[in-house]
Amino acid sequence: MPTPFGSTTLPSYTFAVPDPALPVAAAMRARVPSCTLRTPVMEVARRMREEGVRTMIVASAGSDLIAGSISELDLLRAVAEGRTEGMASDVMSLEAVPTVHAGMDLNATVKRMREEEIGLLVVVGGQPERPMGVLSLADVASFLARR
Amino acid sequence: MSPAQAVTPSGAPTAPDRPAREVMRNGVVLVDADASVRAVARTMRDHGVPAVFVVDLSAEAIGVVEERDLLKGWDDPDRTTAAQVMNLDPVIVDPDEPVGNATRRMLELGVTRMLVALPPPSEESGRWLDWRERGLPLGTLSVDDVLARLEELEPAVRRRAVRSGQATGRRVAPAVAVASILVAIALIVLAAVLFFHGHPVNLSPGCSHPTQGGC
Repeated sequence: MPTPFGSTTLPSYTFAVPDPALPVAAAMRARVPSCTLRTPVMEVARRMREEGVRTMIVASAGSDLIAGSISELDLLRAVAEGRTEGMASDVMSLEAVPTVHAGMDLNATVKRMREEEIGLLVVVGGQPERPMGVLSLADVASFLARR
Repeated sequence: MSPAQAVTPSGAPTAPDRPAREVMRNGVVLVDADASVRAVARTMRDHGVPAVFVVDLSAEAIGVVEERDLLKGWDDPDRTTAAQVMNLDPVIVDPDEPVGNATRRMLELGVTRMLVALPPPSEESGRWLDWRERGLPLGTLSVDDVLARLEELEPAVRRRAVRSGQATGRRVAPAVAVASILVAIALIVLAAVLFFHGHPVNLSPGCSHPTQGGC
């Protein structure tokens, strides 16, 4: 039923209330950009560029265990210190990679990313629980653009 | 400041390095200060850029919006404007600054993106403190721009960082190991001296009997 007031009159009203039941799975990238502990550093740089991400997840080969992550700055530091011949395990940062469940509320998750200054979340889900995808700043931005 | 000269104080010719203007992502995408956060997100998506510049009515750049800043407008993306979420103080790099120098600053500051803007006119440099006075930026220099051309830029990036002392962290470990070995040797010698004190060691057989005197 069309209203007498077109969308030009109230351009933003429909979206003013955030959707309460939006899960993280709606905005995530359904693929984990990952490498193993033994992947060469230059290969990590190449794969990061191909996948178009800013952080690579480092996982143990043949398992879902996350060992750490490599950001662009980690790579740049490795280059600056002349460690390009090494493996992913030599340059990765060992801080725990933040995770979020695929069924979590997207609004709350975005709020958490903002407050804790998280650039990339690993989305876990399924039974048994395993990494399903990632939610990066770019994914949030592109979700904002298409919603 | 003249960064191009500051890098080579000895004046010696250095390994091939490129100025920032040759490696940067050329050109900028502009959005209006009153554009909504959703419109900014769409602009980023349509142009494939991770950062846009916010201009005011007189088309002067007044800020930068990156993907991270979009999160501030998540709750109401149609009413929050670009001016409310923009970053007013981005990191600037001169177009002629060598990339090795720029990447070192990125590591020091922990940023992944820099604005490439023309330096202010030298005769008035005292007055041009604000980056906005430099006019519209020429482009952006991101870490991925550098990583994408790593084969070519690696010598420059590595040489500068090592010279500035960035890589000294890994040389502490051998020094500590050597020092601890020396301390261990000193302790062994000290223990030996205390143990044999008053008991002179005579290695010649037949000369050690106390009543028969020396040999």
